[in-house]
Amino acid sequence: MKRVFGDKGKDIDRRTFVRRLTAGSALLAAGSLVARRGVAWAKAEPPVSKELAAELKRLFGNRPIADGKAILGLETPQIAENGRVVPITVEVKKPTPIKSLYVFGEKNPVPLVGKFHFGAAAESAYLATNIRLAKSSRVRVVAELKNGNLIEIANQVKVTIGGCGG
Amino acid sequence: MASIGKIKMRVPATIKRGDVVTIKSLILHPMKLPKRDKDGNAIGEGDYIDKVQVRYGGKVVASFEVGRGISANPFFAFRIKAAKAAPVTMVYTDIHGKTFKHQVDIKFS
Repeated sequence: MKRVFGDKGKDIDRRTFVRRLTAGSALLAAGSLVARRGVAWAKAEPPVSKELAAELKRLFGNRPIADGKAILGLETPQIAENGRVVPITVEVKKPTPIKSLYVFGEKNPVPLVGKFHFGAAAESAYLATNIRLAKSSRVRVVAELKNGNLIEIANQVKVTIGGCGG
Repeated sequence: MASIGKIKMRVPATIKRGDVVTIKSLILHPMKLPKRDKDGNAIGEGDYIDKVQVRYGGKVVASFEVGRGISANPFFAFRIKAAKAAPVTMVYTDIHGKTFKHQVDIKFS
């Protein structure tokens, strides 16, 4: 486009137009960000399913489970296209003696995916495996420390095709 | 499938004494779920691996009690401290008691 010098009115018009456009789109972007955040917040703490609550009670009784975000790292895909194979990685960020890891798929028909026990020669509890997820839900990992304390970490995973059908 | 129970294990190519090594393993297994009728009741038991044991130099270093929540052709990776040159053995047991075994040697270079 050819710029017309001297034609102030036109130039300002274009500028204000551009300015308004940027301001508008910024607002829009901010709005959608807030909206998305809102969804994330809403999803962050859904009630624990009956099956999972029963399973947790069966395994751990009434022992308190502390938040383990500072110690545990859990890597999961945000979106799993196929619930049949969902790669997960559990890592211990701070060297902490861990006895066992319990992995749960919160909405699976059988929530407990596995118990993973580590002996002394196993260097920290590191685990990578593939799990099945029936629906979009959180993957929860509870770690039992050598001193008997329990800590947990959970990640939301969106599943496009369920993996526990049939 | 004739290849059921075929196991692959991988350790790093070069290991120094005292290194923490990641061992990866894969076993070919269908991890079949029990069939369900239309009311959701299970028919039969399916066929899946429910126990995995890792031994290093004869000692059990890790054991996994898993279930149907593990994908077909289960993959596991874990870390051990390579303190001695010894074999790492993995023993998989399915719910019918069949075992599958494989071992790799930890060697120092």
